[in-house]
Amino acid sequence: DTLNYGFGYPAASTVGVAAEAYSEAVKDRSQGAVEIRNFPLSLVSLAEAGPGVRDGLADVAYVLTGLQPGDFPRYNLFQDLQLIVNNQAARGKESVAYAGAVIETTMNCPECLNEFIAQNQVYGGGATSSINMALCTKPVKSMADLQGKKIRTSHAVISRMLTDLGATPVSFPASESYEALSQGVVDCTQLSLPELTNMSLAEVVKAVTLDMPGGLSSSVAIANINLDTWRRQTDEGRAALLWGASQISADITWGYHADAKSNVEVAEKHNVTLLNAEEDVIAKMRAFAEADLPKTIADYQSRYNIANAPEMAENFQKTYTAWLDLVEGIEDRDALRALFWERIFSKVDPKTYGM
Amino acid sequence: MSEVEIGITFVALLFGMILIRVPIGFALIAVSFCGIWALLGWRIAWGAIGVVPYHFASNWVLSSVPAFLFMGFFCYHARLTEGLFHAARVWMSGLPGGLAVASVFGCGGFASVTGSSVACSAAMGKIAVPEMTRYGYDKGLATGSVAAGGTIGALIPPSLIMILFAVIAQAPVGKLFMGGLVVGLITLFIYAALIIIRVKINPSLAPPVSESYSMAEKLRALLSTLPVLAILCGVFGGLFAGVFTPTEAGAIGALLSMAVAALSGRFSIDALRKSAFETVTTTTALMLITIGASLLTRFLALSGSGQALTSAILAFGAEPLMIILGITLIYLLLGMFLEPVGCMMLTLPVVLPLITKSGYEVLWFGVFLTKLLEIGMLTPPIGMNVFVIKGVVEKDISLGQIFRGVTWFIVADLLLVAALIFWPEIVTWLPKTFG
Amino acid sequence: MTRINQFMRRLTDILGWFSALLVVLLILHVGMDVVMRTFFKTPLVGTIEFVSIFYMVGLTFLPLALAERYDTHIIVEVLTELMPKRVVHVLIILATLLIVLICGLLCLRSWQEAWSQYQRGSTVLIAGAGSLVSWPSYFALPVGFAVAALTSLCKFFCLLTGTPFGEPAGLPAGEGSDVRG
Ligand code: NA
Ligand code: NA
Repeated sequence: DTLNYGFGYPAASTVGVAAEAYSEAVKDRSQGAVEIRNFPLSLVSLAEAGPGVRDGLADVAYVLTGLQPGDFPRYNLFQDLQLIVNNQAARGKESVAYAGAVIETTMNCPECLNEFIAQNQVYGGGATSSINMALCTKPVKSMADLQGKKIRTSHAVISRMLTDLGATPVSFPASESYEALSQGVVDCTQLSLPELTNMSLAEVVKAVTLDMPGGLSSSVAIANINLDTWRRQTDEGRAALLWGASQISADITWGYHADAKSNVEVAEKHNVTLLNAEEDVIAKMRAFAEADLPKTIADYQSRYNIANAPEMAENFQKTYTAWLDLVEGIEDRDALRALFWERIFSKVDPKTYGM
Repeated sequence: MSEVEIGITFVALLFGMILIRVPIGFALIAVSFCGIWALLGWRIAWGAIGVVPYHFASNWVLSSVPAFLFMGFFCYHARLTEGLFHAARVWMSGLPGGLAVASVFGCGGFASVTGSSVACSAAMGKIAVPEMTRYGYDKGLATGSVAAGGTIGALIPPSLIMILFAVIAQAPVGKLFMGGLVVGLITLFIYAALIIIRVKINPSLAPPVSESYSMAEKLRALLSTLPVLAILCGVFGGLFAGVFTPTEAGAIGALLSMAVAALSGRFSIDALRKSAFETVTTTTALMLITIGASLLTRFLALSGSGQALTSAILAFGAEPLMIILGITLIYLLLGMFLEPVGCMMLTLPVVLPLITKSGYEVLWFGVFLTKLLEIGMLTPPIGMNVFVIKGVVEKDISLGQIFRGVTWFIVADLLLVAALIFWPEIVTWLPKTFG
Repeated sequence: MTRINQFMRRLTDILGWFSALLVVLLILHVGMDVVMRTFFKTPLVGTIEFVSIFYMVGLTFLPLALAERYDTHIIVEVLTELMPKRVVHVLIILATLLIVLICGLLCLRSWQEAWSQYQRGSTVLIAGAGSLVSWPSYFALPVGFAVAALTSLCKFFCLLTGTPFGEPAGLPAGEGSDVRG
């Protein structure tokens, strides 16, 4: 059986490279019984991926769950808890731990998995970007710097925080960042460091604030499989797809994490200043995060009828803390693949999952 | 039938349907739907026509197209642009085909504020073509120069195609923009030269200005260009001062035209109504085609025909020059049917590795590719720039007339393409010197 | 036939007026966002989402019938110019029937989608803050395609019976001679 995998990223991107490995992993594991055919950009756009995999236009797709807030509220709740990564001293692998926590929590949360089933697809792993930063045309580190600065952001919670800090959040697609920065329509764009090369932003960015606004992007289901396609597979086929899911989840997460490190050199080469926000900014960000969290959770309770949102959030935070320790010793992609497999995906039963 | 055969069969079917007068948008949708059905079954075809139209239409970046269309229509109905063309006529009376040359330069101006050639043609079409036909210009020349001039929109920065190419190929946008600027300006001058030569040879294409004007008349004519100059200064100034993005430029241009019309006493509800209605019918016709083209891209991707064509042509030879000629041929062929973005997504995964392998620079290729894709905007049967012009001009100008009108420009473009292959420094010199 | 035609004309005009309003609103909305962001440092929240979801979707699908009635869909006449008039007439009838079928199919499909979006009360997240109800925009598709299908059906019968269908008077807003130029 050949499954068409559609993702809205170029073949040479982190996602595209991971997709190649995914295709090979599934083929090897199923001994050629299941093959994945990759469609970088050409089959479904990012916006079409959710409905596209639901209706079978793609058998497997990279779904931005944030585009369907009403359909995947529980999965998106984890995204809106993102500011917890800012709230303790940096250990360097926050985004990797966060990905592990999101996937593990989801796999152990039947209601979360049912959100995907209701959209005629099974959850096939997740990933995170590296930590989001402010990529600016001038240094922004103090409270005074922040006043009135126009900063592009794509997250509601970050938008609220920036307003709280005195900046002006602006929104437009991330892909317009280059033009907007070079013309001065905005002063900063909130993105992760790998975008310095992915979107050529190193040409227009002059300074990067490494720890502001923080947070990360986690509301992606990277290899969701059409439910009919999934149920059509043999037990062995499904087992191979779960194996593949563990690999691609690790690859994309580690890919972004590693790209963030290598982009530090890119920044230096382009004379982009890397700086940290001043202490009072960080303190204000943390205070905001703590005050905002209960409101966010209450919002999920009322808006999306998730009665147990507080428990879910608490459970997630515990899992995240555990994962911070789990990834402490992980130094390469293969180690993360093994960890994801052992800790999460090997515990999923291909005979019953999504059936 | 194999998947590739299904792909080729349905493209042939599409060609046939278009030739027997089926509206292009509907032909594209019908063929893609039946093609996906034949390839993967009813369920998936049914899914595709449910997913693609809505998500394709709900696009922020495309919103600049109706805005620029409205601006063009409004400037025309409020008679804001008459003065500009009168002045061009008075001042360029010595230049053969002066108005067509002025229109091409107008396109060049709009190119620097919009990112796409469709937006560029949309803005210029209604402003320039009626003025040229009013002064007795050949309809093919009038429409052709604006349709072709629109392609400069994607070459001169900002350029959506180059931004997308930069993301896919991991190439520096700034350097691509510099290369694009050079090729865009060369295109501009080649088009102008082409018009002048053609009119010199055949003066009936553009009746020469017989009367001569006094200096006072000339200055008065200059004064009458003020409304348009005010609009253009507002749009350019705002864009370069960082007040708005290229996507927003269309709406700002439209607002400025209304403001200028109001200030000069030429605003009327009637003009507003007409412009809005014409914008609406043109937008829906163009969007239907782009949705159809987008569905066709999915069909061709699923059938693997794009890749098959690419590998078949590239099998002819492994020398760098053969590869480049093969790639040129591929994009000219695919450009007949596909729009630039779909075309890139379908082919770049196969083509990019070959480019680097054969020793060509990615920077050069990005600019070269943009030029090739823009030629595709002019070639039949699916030539979006030609369609935009068709959507804004008088009904008695047929699509065939416009396609014939752009033929000369395509020939000139092909010469430029050849020049870019043999002297790649044309593209790389500026970015390397100042990049 | 004439009365049905009259009714369809009225329906098409209503959608046309509504779409024309959308164009003007789009321009005002984007312009207002730029002004508020530049001069008052308070950008309008959700402009991008609103423009793409409501204006663009409405503009794309609601005027389909209007384009059919005013014959602004883009066609190639290179070959048919050389054909006898009667053959062309038959081809036009067949093409019109095809449009009825396609619009009918797309109407059914998009109605399914719109209904399911409505039942789920779909929203989109706004990057600024909060969320925007998006399901109403999905109904622009079945409405636009339905009216386009009916208009084409009307045209189909007009062509068969030789009743005039088009709009000699031009767009509802315009004067006779100034339809497209
Ligand atoms: Na441009
Ligand atoms: Na073409």
